[in-house]
Amino acid sequence: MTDLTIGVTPAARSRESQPEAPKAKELVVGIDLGTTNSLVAYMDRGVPQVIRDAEGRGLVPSVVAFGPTGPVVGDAARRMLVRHAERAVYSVKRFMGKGFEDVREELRYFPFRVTPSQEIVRIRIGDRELTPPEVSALILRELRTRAERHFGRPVEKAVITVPAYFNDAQRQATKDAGRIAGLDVLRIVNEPTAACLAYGLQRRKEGVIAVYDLGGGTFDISILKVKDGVFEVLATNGDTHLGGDDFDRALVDLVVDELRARHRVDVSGEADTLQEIRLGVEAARVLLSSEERTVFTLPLPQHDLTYRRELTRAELESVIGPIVARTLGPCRAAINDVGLPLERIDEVVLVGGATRTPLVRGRVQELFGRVPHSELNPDEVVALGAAVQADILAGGTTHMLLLDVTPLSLGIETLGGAVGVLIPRNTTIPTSANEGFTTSVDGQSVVDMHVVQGERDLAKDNRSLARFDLRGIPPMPAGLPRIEVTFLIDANGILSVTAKEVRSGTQASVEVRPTYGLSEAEVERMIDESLEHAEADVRARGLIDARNEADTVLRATEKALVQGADFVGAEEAARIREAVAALAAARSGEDAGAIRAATDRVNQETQELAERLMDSALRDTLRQRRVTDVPAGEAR
Amino acid sequence: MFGGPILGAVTARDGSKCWSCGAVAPDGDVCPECGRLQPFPAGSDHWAVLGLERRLGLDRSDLQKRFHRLNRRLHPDYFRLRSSEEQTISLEASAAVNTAYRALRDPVGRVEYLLELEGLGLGTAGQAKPPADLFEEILELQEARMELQTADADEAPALRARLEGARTELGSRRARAETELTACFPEWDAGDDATRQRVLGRMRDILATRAYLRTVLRDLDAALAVQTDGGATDQ
Repeated sequence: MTDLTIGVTPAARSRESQPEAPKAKELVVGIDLGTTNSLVAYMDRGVPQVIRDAEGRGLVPSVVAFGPTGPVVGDAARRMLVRHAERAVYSVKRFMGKGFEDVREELRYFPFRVTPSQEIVRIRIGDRELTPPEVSALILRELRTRAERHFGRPVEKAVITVPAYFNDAQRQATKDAGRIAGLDVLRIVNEPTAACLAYGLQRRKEGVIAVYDLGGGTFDISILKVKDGVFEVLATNGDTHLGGDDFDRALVDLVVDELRARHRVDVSGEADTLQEIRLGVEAARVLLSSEERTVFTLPLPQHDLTYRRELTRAELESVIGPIVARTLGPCRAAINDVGLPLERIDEVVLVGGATRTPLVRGRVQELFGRVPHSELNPDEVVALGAAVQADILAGGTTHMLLLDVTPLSLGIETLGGAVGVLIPRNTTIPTSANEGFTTSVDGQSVVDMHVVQGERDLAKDNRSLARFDLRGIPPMPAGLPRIEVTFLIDANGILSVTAKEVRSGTQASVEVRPTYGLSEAEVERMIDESLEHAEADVRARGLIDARNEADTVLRATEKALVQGADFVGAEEAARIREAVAALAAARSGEDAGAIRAATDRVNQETQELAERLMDSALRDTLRQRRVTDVPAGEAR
Repeated sequence: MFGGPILGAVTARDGSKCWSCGAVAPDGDVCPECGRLQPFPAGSDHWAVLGLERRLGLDRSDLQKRFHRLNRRLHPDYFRLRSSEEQTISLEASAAVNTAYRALRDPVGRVEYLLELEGLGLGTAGQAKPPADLFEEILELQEARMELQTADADEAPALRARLEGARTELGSRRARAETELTACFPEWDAGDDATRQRVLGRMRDILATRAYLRTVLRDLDAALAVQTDGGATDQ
């Protein structure tokens, strides 16, 4: 038997499996790349910690805005949503690993434009087109920078979480985003499982645990068995298009409809107004988790109207009730797959910001017949768990092991369009399956296979992952070649395919055409571009900083020349004016270095004047005992 | 999805000798001399991977203990900082353990796997055989199922009641088939070759019946679900 598995494995994809000598514990961070918010955490001497900014905020809003100086991420980008909605991208996670047709329906809720195509989603911002992994990479880069500032050294390795119900394309897209952000993604971990790790570390309890995870845009239910430090996922189910976003959409629709019906005002075409409504109803919804009623106010000066409306919790619940109900089907399916009676589920844990909603808690409690846990901050627990898994991979934590499952059945399209299942859903990963292929025509040299993921009987009803061509089969009568294909799902839940020709010694190769993914060449190009952009961004920022500095110096110098008119000689004044003119000229150029040099020259020429002004001001202060405006301080 | 580690690249080792240092080292464990992870021999069956003899009577909690213990030893999480050979062995061995546990923990899956090893596999879905004594009733049920689809409000309740009754009856027949199956285990485990062949044949028939019942039950579930509709909005 000849081994004919052939390298479609590009060097970069297998880089992480290169030999590496064991060494001191490396720095690996855990990242929760969320629909609404993202955060980064690390393991600090056995305790997972969220990395916060100077103001103590751990959450970075998953919003990217493209301003004149390059992309901004987080709170600043979120603020741009209401004034420049068309230049901001949010909830990009809903687009990861998706095709245009998949998201066409919900595009009306988004201010940005998406280019219609047969392939993956491409978001249009100005004259730029970005894929969801590129936008996600900008968020990851921001988190990476935050971590690097915290540690004072480069951060290059990460564990990133994804919804448990993410398919192969969505996982691959997340991994690609990490690579574009310059991160070696050591592991993709499922969010509910990560949350369970964080809880497990804290409480060290054993038993069967259900994790109900309702985030901004995705819903997961995972049922785990925890025993002797092994966290074994028994079943998982979910909906990757269901979350708090959908609550807000229902409320936005309510407001827009009311404006139309009661005030004859149609705002459905006003992107900025829609964003203002969206952020407003989101705030109202969050408030109604603790209050019984709130008032939603929306000034609409362009329509000479201020929309005010009281919203009660009961009303909110009637609006979101049908959406919450959609989470119960997957819960029942997962319980059914586990095959245990409900009483055997010892605990229920709530994860994700949307589980703060009392209605959600109520429905979960009804379904499972027990009060759910939420001791750990539902916004942070996933990142904490990611940090635990990062520490396991870095060789730190050894008493815990996570055994996750593949959420969707993997199969190949057979004759007639049916699906032959190779790896059923809820199979513990890593896992592999073999399948034999042969030819149907004499002398056939290529065998094509179509790999799908999903639970439906027909291939067309499932998610198309990729088409694989086995090439280089030697000419033989039909049915004689024996090609053994191995499908391997690794611990990330990501598929790889390899092939061996059993009968002959001739090489065959596997060629992949991902249905909704980036090709290796595209990822490589994006990595290069992101580096270029990063440089361009740094340059742009440098220019802005230099101009701001120049402006400050110019203003202060003008002021000093007026106030210090008595102390300045004619020649000195001429020299200063000349330097000021040079700086003004440099400032209108694009060269940050020239601006800085001209600024320095002005500073130099005005130094003596500044000192004299300072002395004079001091004398004045001493004499008159009053505080004087000291322009010299500004002029340095 | 873009290719992957080449499985089996280092699985071929010389007998029970460590592939790296040549010392005697157990399968699927670390070499006592050099600490390198050893692969399972190519073609190991699921029992061998879990360190068991080929038997049908297995203790579920013992299986789980082995599954956990082996993964604690060879899961890829613990080999990330080791050589690429060991990473591949770990990935392959962990996949083998997971596949073995999944196949053996369920008694039906266990028998299906054994039949496959013995060249008596049922194949996918095919070969399902109706139980002789129920053949006519099942034909009538199919008709009732068709009728329900077009039934008006007067006829529907009676048809539904009939199908629900059949579902209960066939469900218990399926449960009985599974009991009969596990009842064969001690005989196969203790038997000589001739006995084993005979028991295998019997188990194969039971599985064929069970496969048939499963298909009929699934059709019944679908037919009844469309009408009841209670859970339809959940999906």
